[in-house]
Amino acid sequence: METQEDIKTAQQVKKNITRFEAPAVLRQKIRHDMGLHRGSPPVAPTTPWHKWVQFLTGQWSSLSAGVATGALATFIGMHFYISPLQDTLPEEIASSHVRSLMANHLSDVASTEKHTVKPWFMGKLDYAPPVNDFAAQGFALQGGRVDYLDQRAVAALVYQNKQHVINAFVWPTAQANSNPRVRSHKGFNMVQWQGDGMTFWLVSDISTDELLEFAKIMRLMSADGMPKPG
Amino acid sequence: MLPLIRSPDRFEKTVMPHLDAAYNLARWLVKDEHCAQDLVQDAYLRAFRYFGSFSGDDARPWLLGIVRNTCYTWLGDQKRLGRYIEFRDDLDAAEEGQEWAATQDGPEDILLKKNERDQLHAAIEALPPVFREALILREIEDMTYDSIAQTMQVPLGTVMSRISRARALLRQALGGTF
Repeated sequence: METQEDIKTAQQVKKNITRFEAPAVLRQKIRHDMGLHRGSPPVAPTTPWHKWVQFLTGQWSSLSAGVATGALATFIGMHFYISPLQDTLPEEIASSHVRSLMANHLSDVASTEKHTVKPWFMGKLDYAPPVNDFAAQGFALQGGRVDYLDQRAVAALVYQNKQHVINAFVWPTAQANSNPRVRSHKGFNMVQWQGDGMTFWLVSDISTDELLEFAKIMRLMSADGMPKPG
Repeated sequence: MLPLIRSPDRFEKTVMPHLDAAYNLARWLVKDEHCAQDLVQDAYLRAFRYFGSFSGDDARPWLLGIVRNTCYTWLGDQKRLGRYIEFRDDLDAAEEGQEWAATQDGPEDILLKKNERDQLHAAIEALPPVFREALILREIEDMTYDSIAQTMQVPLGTVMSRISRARALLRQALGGTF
């Protein structure tokens, strides 16, 4: 029960307390995250195409000439500059993950059968991503789609762990094999590694530990789905 | 079935209007505007992700529940990393109103603030988080005890005792004015 004293305190508090209002930039960021924005986003979107539209319309003035030149070189196909977009990859991956969770965007081929998913990528990609179902280990294959990341078309494999969706992005790399590294962006956890000439990115809202466990399971399997010798 | 998101428009109509309430709660819980912004942005991504599981008319208790959990997780991480002394997860001790960490303004410091508003602000910031949270939801957001219970995922009686305890602690810290 509220006493007289409580009512007096409540009135005093109400009269003097500060209500902090959400800054406009936060509102814009959230709208942008949700794809609800109907104007210019507050931060540069991360797809190369958007960057080019911005570049060509002169909105890149705040960036250094070197970066702009690098992008230009990439644009005209000379490919001798290191991509200026590299550091935005976790953000691209988080965005792609969020987009994939929106209606009808998760899978272009919905199947729990790797012999359906794997051939589906033929003709859509210039490489054959390893496709395996890990349902027995708690990570069930749900399907796949082609996504666009790091300036190329990449395979996105969709897995489900309990009620959580995990996107696994796979594309070829010339880099040496590496152990899994953990990243995090906007509340999503990511694990990245290179193996067998491919780079792998896992992204989900499950914990980093669970994601690392999944990475371990994936790395134990060779491309044909059999456990690796040794 | 995968919990897929079906309707950005519905999200816009039912969840976006509570952004100020979400930010205000986070701002009072973590006491830092930049952290509060990041945490609210995270919380909205989560809300968007789980929007399929929300049913009902009033999204506010549901959304604020996600916001508070995001904030407490962050506060817990900070505590583990030794960056933030105040947060205590032994809620039982807090429930009993035991002394809170010495990093906060003490009673004398609070009374040294120049006006009522600053004194009140300091006194609220010095409350243990669960009491502060209950007070914010009740006095600023004007939420019902039921809605607060839903947000904090505790029984109604706990909400009532937390609010009552928060007011008593404020009176104790601020003396006669309140």
